[in-house]
Amino acid sequence: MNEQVQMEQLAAGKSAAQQWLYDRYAGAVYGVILRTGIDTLAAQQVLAQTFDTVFAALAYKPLPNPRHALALLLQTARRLCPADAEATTTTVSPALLQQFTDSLDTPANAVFHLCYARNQPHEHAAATLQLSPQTVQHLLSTSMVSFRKYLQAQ
Amino acid sequence: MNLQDYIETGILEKYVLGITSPQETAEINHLRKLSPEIRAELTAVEKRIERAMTGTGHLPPVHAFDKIQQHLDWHAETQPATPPPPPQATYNLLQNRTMTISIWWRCAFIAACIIIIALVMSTMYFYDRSHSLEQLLWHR
Repeated sequence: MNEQVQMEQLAAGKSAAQQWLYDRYAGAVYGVILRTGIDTLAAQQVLAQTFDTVFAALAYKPLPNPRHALALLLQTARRLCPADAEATTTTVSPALLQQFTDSLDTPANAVFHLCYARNQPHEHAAATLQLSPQTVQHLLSTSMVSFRKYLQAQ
Repeated sequence: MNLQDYIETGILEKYVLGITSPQETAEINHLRKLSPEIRAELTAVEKRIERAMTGTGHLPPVHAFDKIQQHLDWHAETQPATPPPPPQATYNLLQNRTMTISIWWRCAFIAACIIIIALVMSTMYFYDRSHSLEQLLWHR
């Protein structure tokens, strides 16, 4: 069954299609949730809430492409994750992301880690690193330019 | 800043990763409706990020999906089913033209018919009675 048909089935609320989307992206979304520092039990609850919210959203407003659903899943997961969670789990980023963060210089790496991995708003990251919000914004923007080039090179 | 420079800032990658500010998210949501270039680039970015995100090594436990499924099933069961609309009498007046009459008008019509029939019967009864009295008086 092709992706478009699966997305149509998802819009109709078919459980087989929901399982298909879950199998495809649950690992990636779970990894993002765990990297915010919450414990595994809370992470599983956030994961369940995330998919629940996205399935409801897809039934209301279908998307033609599963990759649009990935973006929606990542955005929803970040929104549902509690801010400033204590780091109770040690997680490893996917290999490509890990290589990219290793290639950043120390301040940019710290900003990217807090904003991306720990899901902190820019102001919180600025306070944690004792930098101005403008500097954090600038470092994150520079990191994103590098991230784009890095992804294109792969 | 032109569109290509805007894309080169990595804002679309930031958007897909979900780390844009609410203002940036609103800006991209607006731009993706207007610009086919943004839509095409966003799809390309989503593909690249999907590739980068795979092989995460953090697989959720097997029972995690069952929890979602249970919640979805419960939600579907508790969702009140939309009641079917009350049946309406429909009359064909002319070809392709129909008239729908509410149940209240139909009740009112039946009540009016009963009242008219009662009036007619009582009128006939009293007429008959007065007529027989009249006949009796004449015979005397």
